[in-house]
Amino acid sequence: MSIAKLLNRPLTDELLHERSASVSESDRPYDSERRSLTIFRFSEEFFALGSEFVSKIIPIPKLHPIPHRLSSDTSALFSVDGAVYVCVDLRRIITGKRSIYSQLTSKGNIVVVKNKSLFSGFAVDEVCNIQRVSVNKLAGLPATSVSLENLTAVGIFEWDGKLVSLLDGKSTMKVIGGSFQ
Amino acid sequence: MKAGSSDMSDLPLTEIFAIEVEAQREVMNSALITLETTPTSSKHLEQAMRAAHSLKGAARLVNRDDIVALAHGMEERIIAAQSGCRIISQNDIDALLAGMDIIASTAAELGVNDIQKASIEKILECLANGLVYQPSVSKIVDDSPVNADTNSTEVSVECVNADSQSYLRVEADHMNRLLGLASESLVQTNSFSATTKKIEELKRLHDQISNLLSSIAPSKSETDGPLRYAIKEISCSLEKAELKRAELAEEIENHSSRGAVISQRLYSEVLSGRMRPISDLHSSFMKMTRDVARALDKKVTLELRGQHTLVDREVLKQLETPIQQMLRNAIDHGLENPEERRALGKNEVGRITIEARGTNKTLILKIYDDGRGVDLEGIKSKILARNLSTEELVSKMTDAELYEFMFLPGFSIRDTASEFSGRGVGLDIVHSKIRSLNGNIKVSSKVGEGAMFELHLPISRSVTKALLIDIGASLYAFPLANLVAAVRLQVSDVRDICGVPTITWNNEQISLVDGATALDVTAPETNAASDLAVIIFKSQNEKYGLIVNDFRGQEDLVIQNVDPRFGRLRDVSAMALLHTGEIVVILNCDDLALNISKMSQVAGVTSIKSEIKVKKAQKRILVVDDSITVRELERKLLINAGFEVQIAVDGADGWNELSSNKFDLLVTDLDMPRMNGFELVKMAKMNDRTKNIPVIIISYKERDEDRLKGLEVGADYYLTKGSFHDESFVTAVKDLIGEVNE
Repeated sequence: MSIAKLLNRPLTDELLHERSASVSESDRPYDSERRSLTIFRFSEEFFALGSEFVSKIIPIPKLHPIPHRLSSDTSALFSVDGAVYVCVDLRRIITGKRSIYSQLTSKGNIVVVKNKSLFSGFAVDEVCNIQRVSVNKLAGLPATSVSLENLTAVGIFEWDGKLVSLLDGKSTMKVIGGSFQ
Repeated sequence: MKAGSSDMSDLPLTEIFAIEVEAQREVMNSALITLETTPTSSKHLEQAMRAAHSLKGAARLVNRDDIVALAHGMEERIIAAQSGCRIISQNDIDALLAGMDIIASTAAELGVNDIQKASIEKILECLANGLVYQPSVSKIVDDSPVNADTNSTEVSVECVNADSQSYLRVEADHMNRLLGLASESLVQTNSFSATTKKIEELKRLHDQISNLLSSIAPSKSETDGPLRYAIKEISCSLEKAELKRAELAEEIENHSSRGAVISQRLYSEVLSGRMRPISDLHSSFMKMTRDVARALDKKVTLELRGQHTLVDREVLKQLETPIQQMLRNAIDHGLENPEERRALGKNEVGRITIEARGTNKTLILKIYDDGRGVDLEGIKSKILARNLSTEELVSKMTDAELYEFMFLPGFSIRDTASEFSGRGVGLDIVHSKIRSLNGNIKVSSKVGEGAMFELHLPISRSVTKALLIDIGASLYAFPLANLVAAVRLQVSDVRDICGVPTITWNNEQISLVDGATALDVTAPETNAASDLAVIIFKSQNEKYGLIVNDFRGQEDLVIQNVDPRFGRLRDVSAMALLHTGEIVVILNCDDLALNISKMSQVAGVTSIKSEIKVKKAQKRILVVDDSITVRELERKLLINAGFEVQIAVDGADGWNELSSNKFDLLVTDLDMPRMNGFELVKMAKMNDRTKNIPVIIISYKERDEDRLKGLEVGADYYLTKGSFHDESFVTAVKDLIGEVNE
């Protein structure tokens, strides 16, 4: 068996094992019950979405209105990385309050999501954090919570003293896709 | 197989074989077509032999024994020709081409079907014995419409060619993403200019501080040691800071310039990666021309000029079908057979030329022949036979107007269809395809000398030339292909006709619509402007006006498609990004025209209804004109003035109305089908019931004899159609029949 060379030094078996061990070692054992969640807010309400659905988070750029769609949930366009995507009014879908276009040009973020190779985004007042949260800490939704139109929320959890509703990623993507019609 | 540095390592062998077949097919077909006229050309025999030999070897690797046998038979025949044993004949070339067709059509399959197997056996027999090859299944030229939509996931293939160029297979989507990123990199380098400005601001602040220091230093330096020292230190630090700033500014400037140059080059390279020379289609055109000419017993030579003209591959792909159709038409309809040509003193070999030229992002393609030219009398007969127009109108049509009929669906001069043309489908397809590419086509012809089809197309579908316009607070683009004019008008130039703002431009009445209203987008509050920025555009031979906030100039835009989840977006064609990062929505002119028409009609109808509610016992006027536009304009002018109006579409219709209803005035055109204006007025004057009805003739004819004739038959006024821009028409009406309710 030929001996591989690393930086002009022979790579001994001992060195190979040592390097591999340090790379494979993690700080703590992998916890399959912790999920990476992107936490954001609409006004004073906090929500979270699985980070596996989030492609990018950008400051809100100038949005371009789409003709004849002012009153729909897909009324504006934004650009990122040389591509043009649609901004979905997830605020309206979740909270019932329509985003006012002029407000969107001031501050906040756009969360760019990807669903089956198609990108779109939704504007939020702030992306607060991207946090690993233990699934065990999720509690069921209280009966008096605000109805999430067509969306499934899988539970709520506490973050930084605030109550955050965790959205089901797949149904959120489905609702976003459906808003194009 | 040539060992180029093509990255095909991840492809299955069968796919690589298919690519090889395509490459060798080009070589073989080109060589065989040349051998038809020069059968002893050693160079072309060698090319054909090598192609057959390569195919045999490649087929062996993929276990395609059927193709191995066929390629071997083809190779043997060519070798025999090379050695001088048997000069290659027309029959041999037919069989070799047919063999190549079978190989190409089955390359991607696992084998051949029974019919193909029988064909292969027949081909081999013909090649061995010099027999005439008759295909088992006749080849039918496909006239069916081709979907103009492009498939964005189609793989773009480059074949290894004999020039040892190395090629790479790249997915079309991948290229689009590259283009997007290259575009974004341009945007990012442009943003450096904002940073440079901030550094300039820094310099200004620095100079301010220096000046302040200078102003306090002299008065304190004598008596205050520590202060003097501090000022000195600050001045030194400021000096160092200034040097650093200047260094930084220069560095940023260099990076910015270099970045801009590289980004621009990257952008251009990616864009040009989509371009292909038009000669890519040459081989297929040559073969098709040869096949059709053979089938029709005609002799034809095809020349391609400007073959290095680069065209976007999407455009090139879409052009293949319409050009093939025009070639078929030229051979079938245009070119005479050899006997006819000899009798006319022409070379018995007909000539068709395809000339390509790229200029300023536009591709100009001319396809012309030296045949009999377009049969204008035949077109006229067909128009009349199909009742598409009247004899009188047809006799007045210009050649250009008559040629337009050739592109109508189902229109053909031929009474019977042949395999190649005559169904009236071909040129319709050509027209649709060219329009779908945002191009246009025009025809010219000289009887006995030939006909020419001239196509103007954007060189790239990825890039479109457009005029940037502000509507509301956002940026839109208007494709230049549809733009007639961009004008600034005074508000006073706009007239209100039945609630529809209208302007007169180039002696035409054009309805106006506000852009923000038409697109249903929010417009910011602005002070009332004294002038208007108006886009005049055309769609389906009608002109429309769109009021916009401002013009921003012309730009070449790289198109990005609309998110497919939308389906079709009303009034929107595509999107683009400027180099500044600003989004531009490219408008769909045909949609917009429809939108504007509907808006104008609603406004007109609403206004008419309200007018009718108010007025009672109105005077009734009969307007007779075969032109829809003129009729509607007259009607609106009169309704606006308060009269009740009935319309008729020609003289006979007008007489029906006049004889059965009561009218206070007759307004009539002169040139109309079924009964012209003179006849109508004469009849009205001869009838007891209608003889006292006053008459106004409105015509384009301005000659004195026409005016005299009009007055002789009994008209009270003779106006020309240029009088609509002022009040003379309505004044004449009121002069004859008084005010509305008198």
